[in-house]
Amino acid sequence: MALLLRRTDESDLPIEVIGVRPDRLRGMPPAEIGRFPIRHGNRTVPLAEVFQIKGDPSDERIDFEGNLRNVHRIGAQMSAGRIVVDGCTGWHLAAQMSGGTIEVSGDAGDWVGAEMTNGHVSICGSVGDLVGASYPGSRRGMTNGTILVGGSAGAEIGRSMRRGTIAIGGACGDHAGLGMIAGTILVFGSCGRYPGAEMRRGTIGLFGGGPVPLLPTFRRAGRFRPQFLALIERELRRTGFAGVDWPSGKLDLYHGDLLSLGKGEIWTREGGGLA
Amino acid sequence: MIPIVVDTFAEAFPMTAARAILTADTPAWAETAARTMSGYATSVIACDAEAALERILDPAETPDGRPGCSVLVFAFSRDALEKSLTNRVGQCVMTCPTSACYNGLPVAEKSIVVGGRLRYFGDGWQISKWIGERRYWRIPVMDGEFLCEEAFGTVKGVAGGNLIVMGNDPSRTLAATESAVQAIRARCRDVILPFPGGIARSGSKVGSKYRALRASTNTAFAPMLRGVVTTDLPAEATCAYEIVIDGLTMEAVERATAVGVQTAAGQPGVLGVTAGNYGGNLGPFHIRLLDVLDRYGEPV
Amino acid sequence: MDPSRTVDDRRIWPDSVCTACGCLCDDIVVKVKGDRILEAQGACSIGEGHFLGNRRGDGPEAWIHGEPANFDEAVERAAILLAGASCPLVIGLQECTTEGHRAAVELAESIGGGLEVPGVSATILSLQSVGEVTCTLGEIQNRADFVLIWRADPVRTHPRLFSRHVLEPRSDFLPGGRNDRFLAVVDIRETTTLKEADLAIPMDEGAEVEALWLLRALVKGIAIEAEQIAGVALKDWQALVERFRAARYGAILYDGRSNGLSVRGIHSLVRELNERTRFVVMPLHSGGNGVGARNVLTWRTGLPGAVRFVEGQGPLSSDAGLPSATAADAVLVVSGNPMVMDNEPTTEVRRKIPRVLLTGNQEPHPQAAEVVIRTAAFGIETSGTVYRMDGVPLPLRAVVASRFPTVEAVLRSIEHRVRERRA
Ligand code: SF4
Repeated sequence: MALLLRRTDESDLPIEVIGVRPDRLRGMPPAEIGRFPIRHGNRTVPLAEVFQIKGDPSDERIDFEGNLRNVHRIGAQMSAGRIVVDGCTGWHLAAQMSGGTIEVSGDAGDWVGAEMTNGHVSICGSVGDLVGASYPGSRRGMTNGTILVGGSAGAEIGRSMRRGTIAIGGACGDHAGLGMIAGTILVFGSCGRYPGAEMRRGTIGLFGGGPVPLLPTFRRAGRFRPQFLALIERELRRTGFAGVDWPSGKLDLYHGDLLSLGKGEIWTREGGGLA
Repeated sequence: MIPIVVDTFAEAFPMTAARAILTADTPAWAETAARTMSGYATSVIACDAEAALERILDPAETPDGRPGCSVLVFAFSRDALEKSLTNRVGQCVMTCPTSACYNGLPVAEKSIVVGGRLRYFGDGWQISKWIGERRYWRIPVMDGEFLCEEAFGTVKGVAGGNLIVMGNDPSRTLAATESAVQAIRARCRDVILPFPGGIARSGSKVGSKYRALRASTNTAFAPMLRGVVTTDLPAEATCAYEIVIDGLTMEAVERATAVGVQTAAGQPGVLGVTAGNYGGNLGPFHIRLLDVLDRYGEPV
Repeated sequence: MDPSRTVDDRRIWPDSVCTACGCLCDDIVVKVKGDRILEAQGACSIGEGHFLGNRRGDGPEAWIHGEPANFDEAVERAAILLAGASCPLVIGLQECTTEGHRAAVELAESIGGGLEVPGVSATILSLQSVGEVTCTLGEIQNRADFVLIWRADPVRTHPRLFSRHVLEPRSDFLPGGRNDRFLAVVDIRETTTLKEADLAIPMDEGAEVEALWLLRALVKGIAIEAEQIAGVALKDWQALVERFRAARYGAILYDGRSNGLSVRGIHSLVRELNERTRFVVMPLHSGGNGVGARNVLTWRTGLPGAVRFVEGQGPLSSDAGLPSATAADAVLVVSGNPMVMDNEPTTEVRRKIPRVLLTGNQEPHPQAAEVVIRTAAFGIETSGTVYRMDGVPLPLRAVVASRFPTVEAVLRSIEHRVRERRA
């Protein structure tokens, strides 16, 4: 049986559910779960003050329901188990998580999966900036795992990411893959300015079909059919990333950012061309 | 006369095995890759490994959705297997137009590194991709890139399963052995028949009068030596052919043996079907022909 | 020590600091009669406007809900509002002495709130990722034989920058002054500064990042295939890079309000140029004391730009924190800089949140906030420490007295009331 947390009030103040994760709460008696401290604005309050609690997390599953837009850090640092969110969440969803799965039926705010080290996150709606990114002052973004977004994403997705996969069904904002160290970012909608700025290695696939605003420090290699993309496609389909138009023909390949190693690659749909 | 299935056993050995899935733009190139990488790999008596095409794969069965083949490779140790597979993939698959090479067994701790060694051919331009739980290497080559999986799973397989078909007419005996090969290939998975066309005509015994040789011709089944050495051939036999079977599991080898024996025994001109062993002291696995027919043979 | 002297009925303040732009000229001679400033000798026209425009504030010292109130009532009300909030936020702080900044940090800590200095974030993020190669204006003054002004118009916004620091001064290294220095200007418009340049590069609007990346590539010797970038021929960019290379000591100055990749690009360019020759970079900040705010935050919390205090925890970074603008349930705006309210996309949300405003404006709007408390005008009626854009602290002296308390005093009073209420 899963643990069900239903938010009942409508206040806009930030709630941070640090530690409310299946691997932490499993085996805890219900009363203790009710007393579990979370942050509400600048105060610490028991979980039961904000959420109606039903069930128990013995099967390592937590379900969130209700108004969750200002509930932040859902699934942050989680290492195992499953969180299912019915609705839209705040910031730092799945930040620094190291294992398990998180599913969100609506949108999520900034910093989804920031600095995550493993695990699987899928969001049906849209997300904010800095998906899988590094926090300020930190050298690395996500180092492994998968983040799948059905809708669109904001700016600086995959900033300084080291490994792992980010797939965005819709559009993404500026500077996708800024300073990326390695890993894979796939965007199926349009893309903001300067994707791949200062990327060292890694792959950015921009499959929206429109012109791509690349920096002058990217160089075109030609038009190819990348074999590995078929493997990624199969894997993402297997994990439930559906409803996007995978490119079937040849793709244009650009190398860059020549300012930083230049072993990164950007693949764009044939005929997309430079903006 | 009803051919006799001799009540004897094949003596088999454990060998470490891997499966490579090769794909290409066309079925023909996939098969070329498979046949090339399993060349000179009939017997570890003198080859670094035993290898052969296991099966032609439908595009729907391959990791990248292209036509493909699977190849099984057997060697005496994981180290030997790693070396042999790396060399074979590097020289015979990577060089083959449009090819890619994937691991076809579950990866556990006992895996060997193949793509992870071949990557250096990329001269620093190789690219690693983790997809799911697996790592792949993309090595730039002249028609694009060669995609090869980093690690290959291994299993303790069984090698040296065999059966020997004996007859009085060489061409009919060969035809009978060929139908046994066809039946095994059509009906059995997880096994390969590493000899030419699946058949060995120079069966061997352990040891030789010459010190340097580890194996020599199987005199007991050489019809021309009848009268000068002890023979295991029936009186009228003038010809024998051997099918050697390597498999990923004991059961796979036993099933293949049953299919082979049953098919061969039903062919015209076959005087008997037997198996090679070394008195039972060398190999830990004994595959008794009557027993496997009992368990896996089809009811007549 | 009071350095002023009185001549006839006039008080003369030597070496006064002008806070109207980031130059913070500290050589202004201010002449005062009563509470009127008659003259600001040495100041540019902007500085003169700043000094001579100062008027004694009339009217009430505070308002609550638009009704005049006395100082104590207003402080009490502000304390109730802030102490009762779950998620209070302190913003502004540009027009404030460093002493005021300290008081603001302490108040934020005692109410468990957030504190944000707007407008410095991009610079700081850039420093965290690429590092900063900077220096003092004095060093530029003595040594820079090459100056690049990137997308800024200091002739208009920092009128004395060239004459005092960057272009004209003579030194042992540069005895010829202006003649020994090369000025390059890159901008998207025909600015006044661009007209003074030895090498002027007018580029396309919105193409700064491409241009910076191109320059970095050229500096690194990476061949670029395009014939023109950002609307400028490749050879013109190459000419600029030749100048970089010829420089013995180069300085790049850019608009302190720049953000995003531009700042990162400029700082990276300078770092890369330092592999060959000496280069420094400096953002041209506007007036006020934003640099000081950033310094205080860093000393006090280790976190520049924005912090958040939560009970039982140390200061948390809120650069990567929470959407504070939408989350706050009470806001304290220090200094009434209109920019603070208008450069945020969340203005509308913030307007609905109860606010306390401390302002040194001569004619504040009584309904600008739930509680409006007037303070001494920053820079003219306040003494304390301010930081020049190169990080050099300068002593600020009140040249005229104010009827109103300083920001620091108001913040301390509020904090005092908050603590009393708690106790
Ligand atoms: S340059 Fe700036 S600081 Fe100097 S007097 Fe003019 S406005 Fe004041």
